[in-house]
This record gives sequence, C-alpha cells and structure tokens, in this order.
Amino acid sequence: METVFRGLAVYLVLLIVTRFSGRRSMAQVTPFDFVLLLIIAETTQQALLGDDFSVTNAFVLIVTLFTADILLSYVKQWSSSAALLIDGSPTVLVSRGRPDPEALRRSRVNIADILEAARQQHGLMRLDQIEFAVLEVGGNLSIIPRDGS
Amino acid sequence: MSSNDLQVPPIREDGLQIEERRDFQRRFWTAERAAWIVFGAIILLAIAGLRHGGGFLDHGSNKLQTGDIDFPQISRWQTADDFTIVFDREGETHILTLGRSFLDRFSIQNVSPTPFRSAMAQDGMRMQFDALGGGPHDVRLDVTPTRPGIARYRIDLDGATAELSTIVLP
Repeated sequence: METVFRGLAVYLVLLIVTRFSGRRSMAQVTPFDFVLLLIIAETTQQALLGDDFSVTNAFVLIVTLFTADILLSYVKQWSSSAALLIDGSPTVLVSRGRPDPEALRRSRVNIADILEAARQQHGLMRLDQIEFAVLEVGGNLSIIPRDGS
Repeated sequence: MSSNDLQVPPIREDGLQIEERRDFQRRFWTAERAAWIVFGAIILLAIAGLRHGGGFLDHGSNKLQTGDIDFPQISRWQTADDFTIVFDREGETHILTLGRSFLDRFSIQNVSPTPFRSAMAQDGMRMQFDALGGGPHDVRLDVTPTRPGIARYRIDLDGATAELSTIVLP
C-alpha cells in the first residue's frame, strides 16, 4: 500500500512542479537540462522506493506510475477544463508578423528564441519572414513563415 | 472517441486555427509566479531547518529542573534523528523515562551510554544510568520516527517531566 501512495505522491509533486516551472524551460533543452533530468531521477528514486529494493516493489511502482498516467490521460480527454489546467493552451507569440510583447515576456521567450526556431525549422533569416510563432503546449516553438519566404 | 476529440479549434481573426485561451493563460502566468514564490519559501524554510539537517528550526531545547532535553522539532519519517539528554544534578544514578507515546512514535536505534538497567513500566520505558563524578551527564538517543504527523510525547528526567512535540514530515 505504501508503495502505491509513494508513487502517486511523487507523480503528483513532479506534475505540479513541472507545470508551474513553465513551458519556457522545456522550450529550449540544453545539455544542462539533461543533467538536471538525471539528478531529478536520482533524487526521486529514494522517495519512490524507500527501503524496499525488491523486484516486486519496483514492479508495483512501475504499474502505479503507468496507471496514474493512463488515468490522467482519460481525465484530460473527458474534461477540457482538466486538460487546460494540466497541459495549458498554446500561446501565440507572433501574429501576422507582429510580436506580442505580453506573451513573449510572460512566457519568457525572446525574439532570439523565435529566430532560432525559424532558422532551424524553415531556414528563415529575418523576423519579417515570420507570419506566426506559437509556443505549443508541449513547450516547442512552431513557426509559420510568410507566403513567399 | 469522446466529444473532446471531435472539437475543432476556432479560426481567429488573424486566420490562425488555434484555441488559445489567453484569459486562462494570464491567470496561469500569475499563478506560476505565485508558485515560484512558494518554491523560494520552501528553499528558505529548508535552509532554516524545516526539513531537518541543520538550521534554527531543526532542534529545540527544553530546560527542566533536573536537566535539558535537546530534541528534534522537525524530523523525517524513517530517517535517523537524535535526542540529547543532559542530567544536571549530581548523583550516582540517573533515571530517564520515555513515555508510551514516545515509544509509539519513535523506534529507538541506539542509546549511548548503554543503560545498566531498563524496564518496562506502566508509563513507558524506564532506563537507569550509572554516573561517576559531578554532572552534567549526557545521554544520546538515536531514533527513527515510525510514522509521519505531529508526534506528542513525554520524557522524564529524574522525575521532572517534559511534554514535547515533533513534526514528522513524510
């Protein structure tokens, strides 16, 4: 029983902390982010397993985490409000070529980030070649170029 | 397939077909900043000793006529912690009584020095220690909290009673 509660508690804490840390942190994954990911995994391990390193405990924990994830996906599917709360909504950063200062500032994305995504996705050279830039729910930047760019 | 799967996002005035909930996003951005303040507060409280491991909140001290008890104010479930008992009075023996509530909330891992006699009494466990020369004499208890929550317990030092409490974090 304790294993299940441990698993659910850690799942919930990670979900809340990841959600509130903002999508900005996922928008640009650096090598250090991978290091951070490993440290978080290592830190979480003890809280998940406790003193029980048996295969049975690990198995129960894995099943608990996957089940929690499946249930959450159903909750999101059934309730659009829950999906909005858990995943958020996409944020339009550039509309018709005009950057949205509020969206950029509060999403912690700057023009350089948008230009980088534009170069990588479409080989664009300048801001005026960008029609739309959207910070997606998954944390990545989508760039839609202007016609003829 | 649920009704949410069939929902088509509206087309905005600028021509982009996307469901951007800016009103929600604004509220969430504010909540996000509030959460960061909470994150900072958690770090500051951890530095202050809220999660054990040092800091002024970590250990408390209770002074009795017969001695002092240095006890954990904040402890963690299934994590080693310690009590330091100081007997001030001179005497050849000292008696430490741990109430039943203490034994219920803490598992005793080690007592140093080892009592020359220990016995179960109606009010808990009574330990008797030999003492040489004048005080103070120290006894250290290494314990592990058995469950999370607020542990309220009683410790007697040579007949003087202290009612103490420790917050045990999960």
